[in-house]
Amino acid sequence: MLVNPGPGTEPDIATPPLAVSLDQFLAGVGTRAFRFAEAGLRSRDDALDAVQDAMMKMLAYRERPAVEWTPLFWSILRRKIVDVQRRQRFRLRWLRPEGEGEAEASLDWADAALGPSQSHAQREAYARLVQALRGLPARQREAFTLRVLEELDVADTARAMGCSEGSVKTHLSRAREALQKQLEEFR
Amino acid sequence: MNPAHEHDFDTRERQAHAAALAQVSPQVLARLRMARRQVPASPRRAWPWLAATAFSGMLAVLIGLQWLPSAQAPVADQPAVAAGAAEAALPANTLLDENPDLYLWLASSDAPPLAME
Repeated sequence: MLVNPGPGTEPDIATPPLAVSLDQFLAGVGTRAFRFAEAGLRSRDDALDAVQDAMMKMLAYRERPAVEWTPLFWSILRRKIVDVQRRQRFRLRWLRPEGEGEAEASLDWADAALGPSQSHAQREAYARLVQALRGLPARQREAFTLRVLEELDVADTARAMGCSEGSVKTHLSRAREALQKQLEEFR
Repeated sequence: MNPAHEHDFDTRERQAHAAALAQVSPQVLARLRMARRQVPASPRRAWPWLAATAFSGMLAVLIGLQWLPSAQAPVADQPAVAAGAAEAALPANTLLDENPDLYLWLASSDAPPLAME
């Protein structure tokens, strides 16, 4: 049964069924984790390394109840991304792609499944979203990605981000406002 | 912000994200599969190493115990140990200086044939 959350509160999103094993959980979250890391790190290899490290770290929590895996995994991955971002600051900047088409150039994209025009439109739409997300402060980007794109509830998002539910709502509201300003220009 | 507008915006961005999830390249999917395969294998792989380390550690302790002198040996050789301890208490050069037997033996007729052998 759906319950109206009342005015001013976030509508609760239907929770996906729980994974029965850690392997099944990681299989389901793999590509999502990759896209999350890719948006934060601007590099396919760094994103894959961060996801792999997070998966390895999840081993320590395999005995925990499956309900806890989702916030735990995102929390681990979020911290991994921060670590890699710190390391990236020491690298020479000219080794990384820069400029206007940076977001689109650094995106991993397989074109095979759809027609070229549809696939291109989808890629452009996602590249614009990623570029806008990359322009946000890290906490706002995390709040929007986890809450809206990954469809975690407020409590899980707060656990994954290591902050209060109130902070999640504040970050999310600011992120939405900033993203809408940027993305509505294209529509 | 208008909640209906907010909902439309979220839905649109979620759709863009869902399309991106479906368009992950085969290379990335293969690497994710590989990463996942390493996860369940890791704790099982640690056990043989732990067992081997524990076994070699025990072996080293057993070998070390073989080299230790037995506890009853000093009791049987108590007088000899006491004499040895008395000698050990003297400085090394005084042992030769003050033992005339060595010089007497060197001067005797037994020493040269032994040296010739």
